[in-house]
Amino acid sequence: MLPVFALALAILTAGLALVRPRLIMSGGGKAFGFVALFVFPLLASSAAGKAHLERSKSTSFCLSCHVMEQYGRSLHIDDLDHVPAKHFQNNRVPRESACYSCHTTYTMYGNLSAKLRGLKHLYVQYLGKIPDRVALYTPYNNRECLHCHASARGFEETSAHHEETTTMDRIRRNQLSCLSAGCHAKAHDVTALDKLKTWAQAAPQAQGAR
Amino acid sequence: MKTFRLLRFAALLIVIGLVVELGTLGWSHPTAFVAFMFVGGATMAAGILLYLYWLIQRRPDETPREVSEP
Repeated sequence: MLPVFALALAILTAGLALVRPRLIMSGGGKAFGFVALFVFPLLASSAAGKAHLERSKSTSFCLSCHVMEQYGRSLHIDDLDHVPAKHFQNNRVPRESACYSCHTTYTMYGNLSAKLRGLKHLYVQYLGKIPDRVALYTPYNNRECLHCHASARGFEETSAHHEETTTMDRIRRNQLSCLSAGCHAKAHDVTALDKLKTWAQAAPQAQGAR
Repeated sequence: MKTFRLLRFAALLIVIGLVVELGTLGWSHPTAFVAFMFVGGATMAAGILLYLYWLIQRRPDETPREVSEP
């Protein structure tokens, strides 16, 4: 709401300068002109830009591109062996920002790099060649899982995480991927979507969100 | 009055840019972000730059008399 109000105010003041330019050519009008044609537009635009950036974290925003549609459907697979479905359906990530929660990097510049990747996606969407199947730029880092799971009882006490004396240490050092075969390997299995059942309860809310 | 036209054009660009930005706020799609940044933002930035240019290039004697005098 604030960005809309700020933009409306900026339009009004800049509009005044447009229809009455004499007003801003002398005296106190110069200061008004500077506010109307420089300060307000920049502030309002910044607020609107922030709103756009916040919106770009939403699940509906990510899934609004055709190439991501199947990945959105995979969140509703009725099989909790599928890691994204399990997290989405059990509210282990906020449903309204499910994609962003797992696919940002939890580092100092993680947000910034996610935004830069988003700009690259925009470039590919409009000017590049959209791949048939999207893939991660780098292998999924355990850091993103451990951001939430580290020190959680369920994670620390799971016997598989202590199968060998070094297992937990290797997980923490990202030497043994959480998504390794035999561990949590099922993530966004979009090739098998048509053969898998969909969790019916999730569908109405997901449709509403989109 | 060339200086008037320049100022009005700058203000017009800023208003158009802001209106485009306002329009994109109601749409949650990557295209809206592109329009916000590369249409609205660019137009507004051009207007601001033009206004700043007008500010530095204008001479004091261009101020209209009826406005400058009490």
